[in-house]
Amino acid sequence: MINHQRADIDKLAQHYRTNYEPCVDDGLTKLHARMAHVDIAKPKKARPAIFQLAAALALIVAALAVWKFAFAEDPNLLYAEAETRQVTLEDGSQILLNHHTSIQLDENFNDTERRVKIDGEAFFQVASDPLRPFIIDNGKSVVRVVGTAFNLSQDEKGFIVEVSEGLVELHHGTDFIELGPKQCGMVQNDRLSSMDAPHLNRHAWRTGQIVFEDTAFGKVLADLSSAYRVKWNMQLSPNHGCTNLGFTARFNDDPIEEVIVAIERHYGLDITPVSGQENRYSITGSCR
Amino acid sequence: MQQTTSDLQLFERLRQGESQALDALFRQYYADCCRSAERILRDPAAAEDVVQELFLNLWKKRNTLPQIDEPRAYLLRSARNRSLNWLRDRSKMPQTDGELPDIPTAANQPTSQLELNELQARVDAAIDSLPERCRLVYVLCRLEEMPRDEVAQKLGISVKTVENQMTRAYKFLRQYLSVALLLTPTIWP
Repeated sequence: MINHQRADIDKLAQHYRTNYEPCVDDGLTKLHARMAHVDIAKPKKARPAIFQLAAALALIVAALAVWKFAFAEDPNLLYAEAETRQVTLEDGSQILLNHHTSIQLDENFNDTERRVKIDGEAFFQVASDPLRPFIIDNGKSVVRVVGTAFNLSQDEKGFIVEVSEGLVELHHGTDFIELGPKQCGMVQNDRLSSMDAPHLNRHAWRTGQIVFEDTAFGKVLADLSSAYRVKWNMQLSPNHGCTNLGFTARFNDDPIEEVIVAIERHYGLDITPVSGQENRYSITGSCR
Repeated sequence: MQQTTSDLQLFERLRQGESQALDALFRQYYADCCRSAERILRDPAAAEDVVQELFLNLWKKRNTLPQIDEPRAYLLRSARNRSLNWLRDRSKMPQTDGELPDIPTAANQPTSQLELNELQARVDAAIDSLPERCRLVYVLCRLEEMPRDEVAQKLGISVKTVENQMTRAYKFLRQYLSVALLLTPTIWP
């Protein structure tokens, strides 16, 4: 091939994949978040101003009654059975465990980091300590914070984190997302995603408050399921037409039965307890 | 892009632990590094990850950074090498030369007025149609200006194979882009 032909091809090729425009500002924000951890991990090195910022952002933990807690044989194992349980850790962090939840503290907890494992759901108020990041690790996904408040549930599918104050990082593999107040992040089926959580409905098991504002049917059921620990047997008619039908209501410590009546009325569905199975309801009918 | 003294000063300040210097380098070169990485990886998210790691590592190693004469070249080289390592670590390095596909007839549909973005799309399609090894060889040698022996080493092939893949790439691209080549001078000066 003649050289000038090659040169012409090269000239054209200079435009290869130049449509791609990376966002520098987003990148820099992400870098700063990651730099914070580098320095946290190595406290001996000089720390830049970003730390003071992180410390300032950190939450002053609300004074809550501390329940006297009898530890099981393993002092690092915290658990709640039929009732929720409030625990204060040695670093000052407070955890409210939802029922049937256990939390295992790492044996070197509060040494250079504060690492825990969870099975179930809990509300965390992490005491600020930039030198010792608080890490919730389920092997595949990791939540990292310095000091903040958030609700976290973990089941076989993965983590769901809903943040009420401060900043939380949710890591999965090499990927991570940063969550601010009123944001919800999740790892489900190996995928990281996030959404807005304006009403913090995932905190409802603790706050008793649950708010729907033209909320889609599926989301309503999911939020109720998390708040009341109920499960749904979906037996809707084909073409039920419920999917995009919004629901608006505010509940405050209302029993599930009342919530269910409100939903039945709004959607025109039948929701009945499944006999022999606690906290399980079957949903039948159609919204049309 | 022209090398400036200020880049060198920025690197020097970074070595002294000034995080603003890292920010400034990031603002200046992040996009270029990402584009280089994306040309290799064809995956914007992966490219951005690779470049994030690169800058994070600059920060971690700031105390032990070598003397760098050309910051821009250094950063782009790092982005490239990290991208290739990314492929290697995920076993995504092409293992064979692969087959050249037939050129779609649409590619050479003569159009009297080829718009700039259409031409751009054709260039992307042409290069993306190359078998992966051939594509990487062309992109690395020509667009990323990597020395051929380095390309050979990174891809785990001989320099002779690099040469052969270059010839193959040119032959294919010349056919694929024949109309575009005809029209080039009128669109891209």
